[in-house]
Parts: sequence; C-alpha cells; structure tokens
Amino acid sequence: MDSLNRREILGRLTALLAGPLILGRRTMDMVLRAGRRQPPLAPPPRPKAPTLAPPTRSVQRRG
Amino acid sequence: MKTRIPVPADVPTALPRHWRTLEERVESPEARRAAQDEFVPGAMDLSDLPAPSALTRRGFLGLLGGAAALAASVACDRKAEGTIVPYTRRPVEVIPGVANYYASAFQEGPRVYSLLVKTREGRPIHITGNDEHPGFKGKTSPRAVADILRLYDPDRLRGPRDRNGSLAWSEVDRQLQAALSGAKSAGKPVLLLTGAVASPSQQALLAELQAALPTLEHRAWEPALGDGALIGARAAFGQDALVLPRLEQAKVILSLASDFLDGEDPQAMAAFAAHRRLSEPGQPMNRLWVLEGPLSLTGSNADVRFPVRPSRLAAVAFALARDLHVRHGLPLPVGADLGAVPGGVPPGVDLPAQAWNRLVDELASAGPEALVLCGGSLAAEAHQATHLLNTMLGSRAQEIRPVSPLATLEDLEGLVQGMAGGRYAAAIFWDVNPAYAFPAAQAWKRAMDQVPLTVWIGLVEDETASQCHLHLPANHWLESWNDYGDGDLHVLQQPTIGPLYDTRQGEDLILALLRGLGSSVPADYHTYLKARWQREVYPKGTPVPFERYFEAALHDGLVQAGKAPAAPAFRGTGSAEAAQRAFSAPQAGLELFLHPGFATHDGRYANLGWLQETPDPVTKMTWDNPLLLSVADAQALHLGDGDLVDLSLGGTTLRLPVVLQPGQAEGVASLALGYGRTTGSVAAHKGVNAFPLVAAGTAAPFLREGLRIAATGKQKTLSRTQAHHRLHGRDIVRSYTPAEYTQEARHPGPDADPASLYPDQRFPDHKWGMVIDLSACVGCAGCSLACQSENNIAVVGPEQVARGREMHWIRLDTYYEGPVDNPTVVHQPMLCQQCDDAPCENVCPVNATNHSPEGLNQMVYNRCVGTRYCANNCPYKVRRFNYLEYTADKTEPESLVYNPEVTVRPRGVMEKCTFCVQRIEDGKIRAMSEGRPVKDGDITPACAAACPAEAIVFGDLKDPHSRVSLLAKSNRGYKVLEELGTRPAITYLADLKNPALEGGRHAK
Repeated sequence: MDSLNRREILGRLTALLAGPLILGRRTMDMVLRAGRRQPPLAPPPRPKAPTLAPPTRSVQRRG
Repeated sequence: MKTRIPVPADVPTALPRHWRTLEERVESPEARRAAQDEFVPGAMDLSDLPAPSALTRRGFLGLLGGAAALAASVACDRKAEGTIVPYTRRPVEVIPGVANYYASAFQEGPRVYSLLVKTREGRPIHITGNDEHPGFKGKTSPRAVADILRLYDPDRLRGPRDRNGSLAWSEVDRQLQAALSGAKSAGKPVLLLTGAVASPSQQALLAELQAALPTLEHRAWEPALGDGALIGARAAFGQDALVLPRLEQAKVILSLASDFLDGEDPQAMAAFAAHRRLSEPGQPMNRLWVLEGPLSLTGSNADVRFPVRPSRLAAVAFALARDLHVRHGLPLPVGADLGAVPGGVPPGVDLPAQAWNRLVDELASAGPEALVLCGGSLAAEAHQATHLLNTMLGSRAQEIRPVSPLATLEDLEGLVQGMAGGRYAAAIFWDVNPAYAFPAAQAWKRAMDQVPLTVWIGLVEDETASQCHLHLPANHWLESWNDYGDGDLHVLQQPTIGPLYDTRQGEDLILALLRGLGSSVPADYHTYLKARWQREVYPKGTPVPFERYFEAALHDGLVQAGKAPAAPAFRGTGSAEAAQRAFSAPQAGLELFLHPGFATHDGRYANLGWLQETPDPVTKMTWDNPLLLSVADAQALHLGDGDLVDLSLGGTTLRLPVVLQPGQAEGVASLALGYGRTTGSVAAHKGVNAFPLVAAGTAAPFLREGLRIAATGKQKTLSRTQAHHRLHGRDIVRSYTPAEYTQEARHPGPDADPASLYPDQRFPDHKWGMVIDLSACVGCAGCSLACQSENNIAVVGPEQVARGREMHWIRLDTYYEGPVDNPTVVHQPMLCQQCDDAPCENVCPVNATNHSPEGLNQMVYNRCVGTRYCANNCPYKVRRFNYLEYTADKTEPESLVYNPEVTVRPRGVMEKCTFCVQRIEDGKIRAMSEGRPVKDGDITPACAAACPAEAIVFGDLKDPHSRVSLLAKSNRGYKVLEELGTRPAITYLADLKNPALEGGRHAK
C-alpha cells in the first residue's frame, strides 16, 4: 500500500465503484442476494385509465 | 441547401395555366423563388431545438464516454416488472387481433348518418358509412368520422358534479325530483333546451315528459342551421322542413350560395359526381351553375359561377321565377303573385344578360330535371323564392322532408326574457351551448342568474356548463341507444363500447325525471326503445319473431318500414310581399356573410384536433377563422394576407386576421362560425367567436350590412397550407372542357414515360395501383380525415402547421385558373404515388424506404434515422417528417383511438402513405383463409372507402379486368410528373368542366 500514491488509490476506488455499475447491478444482485426471497408485489396502483367494457345487448356485424 | 434550377423563360402554354397563390398569379419574383423552394420557410428550421453549446471535442468525447458508461449501467439494471393480464373471462364478442363491426348512427342537427363502426379489442377505432344504407352506400360525412375523437376526449366530464364538487347520481335524482315536483305543484314552467330531435323514440319520451310535467317548455335549437331556411320553409310549406337534394335525376343545378358539396350530404355528392365521371367525350354531363358571395366548395366545382352579393340572391331567385313564368310559360302555383317583380338581371347583380338568358333557358328546358338550391345563410325570402322555383319547375331532384319544429333566434330571445323575468323554476340544457352561440352573451348570462336551478347535460363542459348548477355527464353516441327516422327507413344507434365513465345517456336521465314525477316507465332507454319498436315499427302479422326482427335491424343498422312522411305542399301566398322585400334597394359598402365552419360547424366540433387541423377545403386555413375578403376589397383597404384588423358591427368588435380569397365577390366579407371557444383544451382561443355578429330576430341573421374594418398595423402568422408542398408550375393538374376532351381523346399527347436506366421491376403476384378521377373529386377532404383515423396520423398544432409540418398523408391541392375575381378551380388529392422507380428509395442511406414485390414503396420505421433525404428527393412532396414528438405523451383515453395495426411513429422518423398496407394484408389473409385468390374490390384503402364521390379507385394493376386497370387506360388518364421517370402507380383522370357560355369556363 505504501507504494501507492493518493492518485492511484483514488483510481482503484473509482474502478471498484464503477465496476459493479458497469457490470450491472443485476449481476451484483444475483451474487450478493442469492437465495433471498423477493418481497411480495405491492398492489398495483388504481388505474387512471378508463375500463373498457364491451357493449351489452348490441349486435355485431362481422368479426 | 437545394440547388436552384433557373426558371425557364417560357411557361407552359399548351395546357391551362393553373396557380395556387396570388403571388403565383401575378408571377412576382418572390413567387418564382418560392416555387423553387422545396419546403415552407421554417419547415427545416431547427431553431426551436436547444442551441448547441460551445463544447470542445475533448469535452464532448468525455461526456460521450460518461454517457456510454451510464447507459451500460442502466441497461444492466433490472427492468420494472410489468404484468400482462390475459382475459380470465373473455367477452364472447372479442377475439384479440380480430376487428368487430357494429352498425350504428350519428346525428348532426336534423341530419342522420347510418354508420359502420370498427372496433378492436373493445375499442371503437374507425367509422365509415353503413354499406346497407341505400342512399349513403357506405359513405358518410367527415365530421361523423372525426367524432370518434370525442369518445376519447380527455376533457370529458367523468361523473356528475355541482359547483361544490362531485355528486352521486342518486343525489342528482333527488335534487331534480325535488325541483321538478316543486315546479309542477307550483305551476311554474321548466325550460328544456335541446338540439334537433330526429329520433321518434326520443320524441315519444319527451312527449311523456310533457304529459307528466305540463309546465315543461321544450325548445329544440340548431344555431348553425340558419333562421332564413326555417322561416322560408314555414312561409312556403307551413311547417319546418329540410331540403335534401336527390341529384340522380338532375341535369341542371343552380346553387344560390348553397354549399351542398361540403361533405354534409354524401348522397348528394355521390349523385352529383356520378354525372361527371365520363368515359368518352360526348356522354351526357350535368351542369352546375353557382351564384354566391364567398367561394364555397360547391362554387369551386361549378361549371358556371358568378360572384354575387348574397343579399341580392333573393331578388335573383324571384326574377328567375318571373322570367320562367313570362318567357317560358311555366305556371305559377296557386297564390303566388310575381306581378310586381321586374324581369331580367336584378339591380346590384353583375351578371351578363347572355348568361342570365342562358340560365333561364336551361332551367326551363330541364324542367323536372332541374333543381335550385338555397344556402342556409341566405334570407328567408331567398328560400321562399327557391321553393317557388322548384315548384314551378316540378323538380324531381329534391326531397322535402318535414322535421320536428326548431326554435329561431327570436324564440330564443323570448326565452331569455322569460328567464330574466324569473319565469322558470328550472332550466335544462341538453347538448346545446347557448352561452356560446346566443349572440347576446351578456344578456344570456344575466338571464341564467335568475333561474333557481340550471342543469347542463353534455360530454365536455362548455360555456353553458360553466353557468349551470348541475353538470351531468352524458354518454357519447358510441355508448348510447337511439333510433332515427330517415325517410322510409328506421335507423338504429347501438352502443359499440360500454360507458367509459360514470355517465348516463340523456334519455336515461329523462326516464329518471319521469320516475321522479311518478310515471311508470321502463328501467332504461334500451327497454323503452325496444318496446316502442315492438309497438310501432314491427310489422303486424309477420312470421318473424320480434326478437329476431330487432336483432336483424341492429345487425343491419336500419330497417325499411312504412312510408316516408309525405312532402308538404307548397303554398304561394306571401310571395308578393317576400319579393317586395327581396327587391329593396341594395346597400352600398361591405356586407358580412356568416356561415358554419367546415371543421367546427356551430362550435360543437371545435375540441376535435383532427377537424381543426384539416385544411378548410377552400381557404386551406387550419385552427382559425380569418376574415375573407376579395382581392379588390383588400387592395382598396391596403390589406394583405395575415394583416390583423378590427371588425366592428353593431357594438361588437373582433380582432382577426384577413385572408385574400380568389373568387370572393367584391363588397363581401365572410367569416366562419364555431371558433373562439373559451372552454376545451383544444378548442379554447382558436379563432374568434362570430356568433355575437349574428342578427337575432331577422329573416337573415347570417347576413349583415354596415360593418367597418380598421387595420391595426399588426400581423398574425397564418396556419394556412395553400402554399405548402408546391409542385412548381409543371403539368400537375389537367382540366378539360368537352371540346378539349374530344380533342385530347382524338389526338392524345405523347407518352411521357421516358426510358429508364433501372431494370424493370417484377411483380410476381400483385401490383397495387390507384386511379383518382379529378372530375368526380369535389375536394371535401373526407379522404384526408379517414386516412388520419386509419393511420394514426398525429395532430401537430397551429404553430407547426404554419411551418409546413402538418402530417397528413393525403392532402387536397387546390389549383386556380383564370382571373382572381372569378377563377375556375380544380382539387387534386395528392399522396405517395408509390413510384416504381422511386427517387426516395435511391437516396435512403439505411434502406428504410424500399420497394415491395407488390409495387408498394414501403417504410421501415425502425430503420429510419431521419436524414430526410427521401423527402428532399420526392418530387410530389408527400413525405412527412416527425420533427417533434407528437405521440409519446399520449395516454389513455387519447391513445385508445389508435389503430393497433399501424405503428405510431416517434420523433425523427419519416412517414407517408402506405396504400393502407394493413388493409391489403388483411384482404390477402381473408382470401387465403377462404381458399381463393384476392378478388377485385376485396381491398379498399381508407381514403377510397370514405370518398363519397367514389373518385378514388384502388386495385390490382396485374389483373387486366380489375376496375383500376380499366380506368387507368382511360383517355382522360395521366400520371403526375411522369416525365421524371418515376413511374407512379397512381393515374389521375383529368377534371372536366361543362361551361355553358362561349369562351369556356366562367367567361363573361
């Protein structure tokens, strides 16, 4: 460590931080959180979009 | 920068010289330069994008590296988990990927359109006419096509509310029951103001409400219909009536400012065009005479047209009647008296005697095969005289259809006085917007304040809603049940989708009112309507059970039952007084002609972007209603296109831009109604509201005299497309007189298809092609609207249109010929010509545009990198570039209107007409699934399907017997710019005019 100057230490630290980012958080996640259960899905937010319903009692022409 | 080619000194002289702008007409140096420019100034201007910063290359590369690292890290991130939820219980009607069709109906004022609605996965996405309708034959009006946007309008009210906030329907029912019961017991009137009632079931329901609430005062009002037509019909027939042209038998048609080709009446357009589609010289052709003030779409299709001040047209009609009676012995109807009417051209009308005599002779000679039509904006006297003329001629080319009584502005004034005087206990406004369309807006508002309970029923909260206590959201017609009487037909309207929001159909609200008043009525309007049909429409003694009969009627959308209501008889009394008023001394100075807007009508369509952005068929204005002036008047006032003026009339002053319109009569200014709304996210503040200029209580509320125009010295940028996409003075459009057609047929010009260095294309199975008959095309823009709906074409807004960035795949180019005060006009639909040797394909660096084995010039959006080389190289100017992101921010409900078979294009992508390739594939798949080859007529692009005049024919050019192959060989056929060697797949058939006078066209 003594042979390293501050600039080199900073460079290695940056590489250490950047590496997982570049490799992907998904990969790191797979390594670090292997076997951990996923939290249950939160209930979906109430949709703002209108609900589509087919017409009742109408007669279609052809499909 | 495009290299400019020197303009040749000798302009083409062999063919009529057509021009599109006034600058071209006078051949100014600016016009010559503009004609050389590919695009409108500003179209290629990227100044609205962020300016590039002063980055060094090193800095740029550094940022690029950083961005790449970040992009890589983000790309490796876990994607948000979405969930695709399949149908757990699939509705039996819905098969994913397969379209369903429903027959339904659309009402606009007293007019009814039987329609076919295409739905995909439960969403209505496209509207065409009902092919079962014997009159419309699968065609409809452009506004009916565009009204699908209103279903998905994000401005729609989604639940009932009052001034304090949301309400439950039960609370609404309680409040209404209390108000109406109180009014009934107190004997106080309740006002119900609606649009025209064209539904027999709705009429029966309103009659029941009247019986349950005797103090109800129901009035139906259509602000754009024109009181002149109503008062004239009452004077002539003793009742309200609608004139429907039946032009199948018409040899001679005289239009007195009647714009019957404006798209509202597809049946009239089809019948008119059927007599213009000549295959050989010498075949019979109808003749259209037009006398009008402003140039209308009908006037632009005239064989003989004269600009006349609209206030003089009533005198013209009476003078014609007098000359037909005196010179040709046509008998006058009982009671008619024209003794005081002078013969010949009335004073104040600039019409040569030769033309007048020819017109009188032609009308007399055609007799029952002649028809005179009168515009809704004209005075009651003009309508009265027109009915007299048609009765004298015994015209078989019209149907006079009685309609339910409508209120005039004078009636409305009476209501306002009653409201202001505290006469009414409550007022209900259903699908009407008097706060916007009543001329005296302040008086209206003051009167509204005096009504204890005001109720608004509608879709998008408008100016009237903002003055009401209760806002009740109604179903869109695509969510509703109804029926309409259409002559001897009963037309049914059925829902094509369940209600999107917490809304009720207006008729269900009336049923709730009836229940509140103690009446025993069915639970819903569907049951009510069906019961009425069983009682009154279902033929007695038929072996078919009613359920099956009703289902068949719903399937077809209509049923023929009974007889059409008898046409009312003409009565001539009052003609002498009307003639006297018509011949009153003409006033000097400018007169104002108000008319319903092509896109907005009476303002009800102003929130629909498709219509706002469709160029007006004559002026080519979008998003605005300028004041139209003749060139001579504008020169006298020192005004030019886009100059802002203050228009003052009767205490009202409007500031608006001026447009110089060729063909406009001198001394006439015109202005479209339906603009200048103050509500609606699309409609608000587009143009000016001209309703305050309407003269209430007169026989001609849309004709005004005494207006003053003052220049302001300011300018407005016009979103007008007339000068966009010009094709530089070549032989683009052809128009023949019968003599020229004969000459052309006998001695056709040389084939201009030059030799090509490219190898011939091979088309193993199909070669799709199109023929467009300019003689049948009236320029209504129905094709453009249908294309917009079918192909998910973006609306870009007025600022982008002003820069020439409108996205329409098919445009209507309007060419003028002759003098600016009265030119002849040819409309030419222009779309991708699907060239075999396409100049666009050769220059695309990424092969995003290429040729299909079926002759289609196809676009691969994913490949397009937006170089715009193709648009630069297209001689037809039909490629459209997405300069900005027009679609990414669209969410439901707006995005529900998209056709899932057509890619929605993002920013930076070029697009253009595909010949509706999705329909071609659909036709091929259907044929394959039925084990047969594709038949002629199996495949119809949206534009051809919508064209009321059947001017567009599509098919397989490899099939020698197909309609398109036969028409492409017509002796009127030519290909636009074929001398460039592009080998287009579209053949145009030259326009035909049938002038009555020596010297051709409108010669004086």
